[in-house]
Amino acid sequence: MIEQELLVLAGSVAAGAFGALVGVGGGLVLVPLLTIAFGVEIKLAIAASLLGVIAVSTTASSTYLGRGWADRRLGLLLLVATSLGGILGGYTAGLLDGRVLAAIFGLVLLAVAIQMARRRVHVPPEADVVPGRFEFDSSYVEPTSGQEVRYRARRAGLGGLISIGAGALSGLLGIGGGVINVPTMNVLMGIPIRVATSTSTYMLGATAVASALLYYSRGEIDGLLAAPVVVGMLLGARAGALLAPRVPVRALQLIFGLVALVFAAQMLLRAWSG
Amino acid sequence: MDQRSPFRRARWTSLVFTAGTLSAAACLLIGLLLRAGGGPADVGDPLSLDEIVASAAAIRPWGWSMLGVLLLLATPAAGLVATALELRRDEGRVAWLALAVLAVLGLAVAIALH
Repeated sequence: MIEQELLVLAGSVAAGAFGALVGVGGGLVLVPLLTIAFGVEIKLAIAASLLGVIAVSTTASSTYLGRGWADRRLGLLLLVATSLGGILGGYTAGLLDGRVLAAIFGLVLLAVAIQMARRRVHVPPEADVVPGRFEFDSSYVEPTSGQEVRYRARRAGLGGLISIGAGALSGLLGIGGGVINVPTMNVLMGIPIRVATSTSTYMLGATAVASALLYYSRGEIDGLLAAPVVVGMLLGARAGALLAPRVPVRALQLIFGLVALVFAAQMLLRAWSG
Repeated sequence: MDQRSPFRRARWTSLVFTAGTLSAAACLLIGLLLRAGGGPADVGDPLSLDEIVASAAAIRPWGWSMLGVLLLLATPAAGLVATALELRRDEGRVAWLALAVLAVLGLAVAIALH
């Protein structure tokens, strides 16, 4: 049993590092790893993953806020929506059978694998005229050029609505909502990709807390599982951030796509066969 | 408009995030090491703070792990309080947004308790 916890620790380090390197967060790798490789019940795996998401989010946000990359005004505006979605997702997970959750997880993994293969970064135009009623301007200093980049947050209402879905998905499956939040902010709202990813990371912690509280109340948070998962994901995310400048991220994204396809097939098979 | 640097504007929130995560990770690491050292795998009622504290006082893995979990769950909420205090003078609307998110987390607590 102790050996299994050390293996979970190693798996969580790998999931955290992989998630940080390909930019999807560790939960998408960790939940199928825990359920398929270690036989952990899916709701316990999701709850443990949510705790890992909180730890990685708060650690990274500390850095992103200090550098001015995470936009707190935008993040808190969308956080109202994502945390409501987190409650919805956490509550719904309690009503669903583990097989249904495995099926939904498999389908989401498939969608993320496809999105990863087609990933395009949208470069929003600089703000020029006066912002409208549901828009606001902000700026950050891009570290690669040292220049101040001005941007305008647009379509905040629509972004908020989509964020409810991102929060619900996060609470339902134990993944960070970044797979929805980042494209929503970057493509739909016109936020530069660095600010979008940093702000999304800032939002994930409180969103995950909203749903984790519901898992906690149902007795689905296992402290003995949480310990190796959280410590492992923190170490892995740190290692991923350090390795990121030295590894070919595009190749890793393709590897992630293949791993995600295998995990998706196994999760769907598990849902089908029980 | 607040003209301070991003670091100074977010100093307290960053500090709360760092302190909260480090203390939670330390408790979880103690739980993990106790378990790796052959500590018992018995668990108690996670909704009873008394049981968690008693287990931690008895140097059992579950008690330390659950203390870490509770600290982790409290950290983002503490960060929101720090944000609201930090921005209340210069960016009042953003401070109110932080309080609105805290209210949603309060709703989650209320649902969880029922």
